[in-house]
Amino acid sequence: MTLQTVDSEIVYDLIQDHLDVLLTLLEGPKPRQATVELLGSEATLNRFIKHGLLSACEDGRIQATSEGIRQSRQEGMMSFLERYIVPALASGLDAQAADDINVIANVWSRTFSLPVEIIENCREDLVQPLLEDLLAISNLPSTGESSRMSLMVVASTTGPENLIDTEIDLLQLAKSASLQRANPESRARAILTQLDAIMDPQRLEKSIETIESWLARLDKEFTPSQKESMQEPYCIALAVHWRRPETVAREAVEMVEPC
Amino acid sequence: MVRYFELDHFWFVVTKSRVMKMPTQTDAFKETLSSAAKAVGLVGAELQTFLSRELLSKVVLRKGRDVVLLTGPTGAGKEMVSALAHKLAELSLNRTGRLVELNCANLGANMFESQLFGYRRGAFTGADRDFEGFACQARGGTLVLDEFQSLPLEDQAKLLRFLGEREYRPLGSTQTKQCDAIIVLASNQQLDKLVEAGSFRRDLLDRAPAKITLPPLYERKGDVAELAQKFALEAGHDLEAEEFYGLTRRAKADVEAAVIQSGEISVRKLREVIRDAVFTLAVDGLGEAIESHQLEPSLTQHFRLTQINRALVDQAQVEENFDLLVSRVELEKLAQDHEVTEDSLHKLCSAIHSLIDDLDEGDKHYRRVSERTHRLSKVALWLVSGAKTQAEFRRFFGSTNFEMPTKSVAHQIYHEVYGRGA
Repeated sequence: MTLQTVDSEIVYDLIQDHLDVLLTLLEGPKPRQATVELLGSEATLNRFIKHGLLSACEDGRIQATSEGIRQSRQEGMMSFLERYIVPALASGLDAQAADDINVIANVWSRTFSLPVEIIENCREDLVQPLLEDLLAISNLPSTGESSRMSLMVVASTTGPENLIDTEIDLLQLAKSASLQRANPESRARAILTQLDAIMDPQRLEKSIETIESWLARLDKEFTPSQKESMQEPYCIALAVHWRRPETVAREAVEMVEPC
Repeated sequence: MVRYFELDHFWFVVTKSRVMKMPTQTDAFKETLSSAAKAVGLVGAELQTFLSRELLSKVVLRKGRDVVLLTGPTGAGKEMVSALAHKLAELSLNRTGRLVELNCANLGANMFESQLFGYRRGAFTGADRDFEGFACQARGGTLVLDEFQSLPLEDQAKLLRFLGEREYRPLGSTQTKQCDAIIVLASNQQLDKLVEAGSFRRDLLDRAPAKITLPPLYERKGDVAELAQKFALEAGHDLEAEEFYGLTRRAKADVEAAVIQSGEISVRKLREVIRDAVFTLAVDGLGEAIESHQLEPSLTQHFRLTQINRALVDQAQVEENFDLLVSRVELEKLAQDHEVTEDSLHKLCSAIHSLIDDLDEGDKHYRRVSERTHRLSKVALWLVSGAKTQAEFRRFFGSTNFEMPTKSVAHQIYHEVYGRGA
């Protein structure tokens, strides 16, 4: 799987401004005219091509140049939280609370006692392989109508001491993580990562299984957080949010409410 | 059909919303303010929120009858705010006169009276024609006296009389005129200190009861990025750089950090810095946007910083604003999901907080507590009914006069939910 790493501020802005369209194109090529309409203008498409995110196929359709994109935050922390993280968290929490049949929302959490070296390498050594597995799943052939799935991974050594039980706990963890991530000295001790991918119901199910297997491996490998432990407490939470595409949602509603 | 809230989630929103300030304006006023702000080119959601409360209470509700004292550091935007107040008065109070500004610091000796009140031809040496005066020019509109603190004490006395009586006589005339303009006294000085020093009259301060103090730029953290972007685009427009989209997100974050770190007070200064950066970079060709590494030299030089410490600013902003952000997002979602206005939910949350505070503080005075629950129940009843209009609300209870609340009750509850009333 090809993963493109983005360091440029301009490219970061371009991606953030048109994330939904880019995700759609990561699914597969689209006709040029349709792409221009989605992006809003020919000039924007040209910018995507100029920066190597999109290219023209031989048949004239527009395709993404890689199967996935990885980027680090290139903006202020509050702007990042406001635009990206908190709305995604809020959607997930609300759906979980509301039992909305049109939304899949799951939250998992663990607290461990870990040596600092493991904590500081958690993002690369443990979380990144999970994200790559999920990206690989998103690249499997589509078997149904797809929609955007967001996975938030939030971790911190200064979060709540107990398992994430409530919405307030999860948001408190996100706050702790963002404070640590904002500080170069403590950045490595926290994770605030979001993965966005297009999934159909089958791929989504596979993704959730993958996440749960991943967590089971962590449970085997690490000890739960203990107060007297010499190691650092580390709270990690994952939140998935996926909204059913419209036609699937309609069918689901018809199934639930027989005429 | 009754719409029920998910109470657990609603209670979560109530808890979080404690950090939010209660809006006091109707949707109609907000729209009017927004139109006025657009018309005068005011940028900055934070400043607009601040001004919406101030201008409503100090200008609109007083029908412009009280003299406004507008203070703030140099470059904070007093001119813009005066223009906004004028535009707002035009839209809300149907005023049709002009906005007239007189800079008192630029007046020569003994010119204040003649310029403000006007004069007849021959009233004094050099008066070779009639001049109606700034007070007359502003009739039906707005009169701004900028840097009025620079007036000598003798002229301050004349101003004091004018503000009290709203009457004046042009020099050389026997006719007394009335001034119905909204009067704005603007100053960038600390007037209390001038009073102590004996160069400014205390009673002149007292004659301007509607006081608005503009915050310095570094206190308007939420507006800095928006302002910087506006100034960058203006400069790009001057250069006819069609592909230029302004500052990158990271560059905007750096501007925010630089302003807060340096304690910069002036919007005007920010404009200079950004324009300077754009024109300097344009020498080698302006790209799609200005990135942080390109902007940093301008920022550190102009704001006299050795380094921009974004981390410190980021942390401070998260500490200060995270809870507010969460409550805003949650309230927005809840309002959207239940098709009610955010203001209505806000009122309900605010009323619940007041009730809890009363009970917590041991002030369980029955009448006061029951007044609060009375308000709460009215707002809650409206929300539960799902009504958007008074007629819908009445029909919710039934179809006969016996079943429905009276029109006056529905009207009262409507204003409780949507209106300005407390």
